[in-house]
Amino acid sequence: MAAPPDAPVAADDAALIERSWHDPDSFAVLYDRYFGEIHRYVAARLGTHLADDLAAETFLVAFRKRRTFDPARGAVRPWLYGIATNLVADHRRRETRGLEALQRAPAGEVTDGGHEERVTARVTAASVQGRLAAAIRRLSPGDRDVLFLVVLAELSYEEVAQTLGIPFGTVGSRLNRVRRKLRRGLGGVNPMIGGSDG
Amino acid sequence: MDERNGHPADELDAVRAVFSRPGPSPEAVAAGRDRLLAEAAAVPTAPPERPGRRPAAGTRTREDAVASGRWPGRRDPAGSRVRRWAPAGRGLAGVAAAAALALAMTLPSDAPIRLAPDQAGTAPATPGSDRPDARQILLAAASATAGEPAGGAYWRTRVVTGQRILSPDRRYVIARRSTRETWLTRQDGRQDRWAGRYLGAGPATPRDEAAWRAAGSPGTWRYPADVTGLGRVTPEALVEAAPGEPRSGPHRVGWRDADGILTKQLTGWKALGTIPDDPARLRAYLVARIARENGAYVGREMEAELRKTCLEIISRLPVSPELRAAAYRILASLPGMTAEGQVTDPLGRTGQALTYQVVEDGRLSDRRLVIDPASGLPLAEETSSAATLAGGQDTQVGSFVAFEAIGWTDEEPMH
Repeated sequence: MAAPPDAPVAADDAALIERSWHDPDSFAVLYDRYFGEIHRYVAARLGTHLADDLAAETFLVAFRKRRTFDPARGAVRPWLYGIATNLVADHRRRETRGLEALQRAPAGEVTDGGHEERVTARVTAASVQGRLAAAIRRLSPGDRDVLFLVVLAELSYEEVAQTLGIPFGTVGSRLNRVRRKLRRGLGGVNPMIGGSDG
Repeated sequence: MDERNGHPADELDAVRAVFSRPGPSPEAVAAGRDRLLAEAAAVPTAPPERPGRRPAAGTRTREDAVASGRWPGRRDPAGSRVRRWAPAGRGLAGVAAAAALALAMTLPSDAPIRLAPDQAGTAPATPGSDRPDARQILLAAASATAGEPAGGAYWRTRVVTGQRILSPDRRYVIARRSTRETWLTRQDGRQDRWAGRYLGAGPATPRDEAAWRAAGSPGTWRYPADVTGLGRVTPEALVEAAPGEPRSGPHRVGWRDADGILTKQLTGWKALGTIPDDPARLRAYLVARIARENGAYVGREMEAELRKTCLEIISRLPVSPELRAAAYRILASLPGMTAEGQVTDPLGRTGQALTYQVVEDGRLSDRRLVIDPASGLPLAEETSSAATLAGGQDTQVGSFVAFEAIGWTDEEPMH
């Protein structure tokens, strides 16, 4: 294993990037910190199998672009999510197909070519899952980005704005629009009722 | 997103429920990491004269310079760090020494690993002031630990634990100690056992002793329900000065099949056997496991979690020497540890100290790991944090775990 050299202080993200200019291996610390959540975010949109590749690709791209990272424009975490979101955008058709499959599949039986997926038992009504997938499929790419960054990545509005390079206020208005559309798509069905554990 | 808290059953929760995935597998973590490191290795190497890499004798390393300024909010005068980590005190020193002696006497000659006080001084001396950095110490420990014997009827650990706490009236510091030995076996017909003893409590230093005498030399201390700022003591605890009787019994923490705690989960013998002992695979395994347990956001907590887990592997779990060496190598690669040079641990043994900080209950706490470079074994883990006496003087409270024996043995428990 290539170990980063002696590092007396817990360097923060931006300092780690700067250190990686002359000490490339120290970028691996960022990998360990964020690979899990970037993977989770990509897997939510494209499935686990593709996420294995694209989450790794996110860090390769980030590493190659490490000298262009500008701490004045935002933190490292949203920067990484921005790269991951760009990579997801290259697979728009794959994402759409996945949502179509989710629309048709009985709840809890969705697989994505990777290992077994757990779809929480709380949403068991196939109609909820299908309606949700249909509504998300109809969202614009930009709205879909905001939705997944807020819900799955749990980014703040500020971080989403940095990730997508859009104004802070736009994040809130996009999310409100998304929520309206999802509610309409669910057709007044309470999404969490009807689960096996009630 | 406040409104979400008020409406748990809404459309965003439904999205989370339908689209959440469990996190990457260790294999995916390892594969991605390999790709990144291959890319990093292809980059033209850094200038050979990296500052702090090989300091000339007598010069301060970059690490020293950073370390001296890295303790945020500390206003203690220079030299206080030595005092903070001073042995737990005169009153107890006698008790502890006696206990250590007793333990040494009951320790058969073929004990798996001796960590007795009389080994002090056998650690390779650091020549001059060109002392090794944290990474060098940890890598040396990795090499040393890889040579340990593996296998035996029992995995035995014997520790002395201690706390420095403020007296309930906050007028002085009390030091108390206990010893505990556990025997874990995976052989049928044998039984997991434990034995332990409360070693007593008393004023920590001569100055504390004077304050204790002025308070009427109490033999017990009753603590209030609110023990904030007093140190690691249970609310409403009754702390006694006198040592307790030796106690022992079957070891039942529900871990007949769970022989340790790894990244918060109980881990059984079978699971322990499947942990990879190659540093890169082990790291991927732990990163994947920590990422799964911590959900959406781990961030810079990752190093703290990795460090904690590696220390668990090194000092507590019945695993192979190779696995412990791999854990040391991961520790060596993590930022945040600083070499403090040769020190004396709470049991009076000499070792190399590495300090770091952790966030505990939202507050920074200082930690110190003392290892014996000769054996590669941990001697003690210590914590320390600031406290204030009733008179306004600053002092330190804290706790330690000192390891007296860690390893496999074919002996039988004598209790």
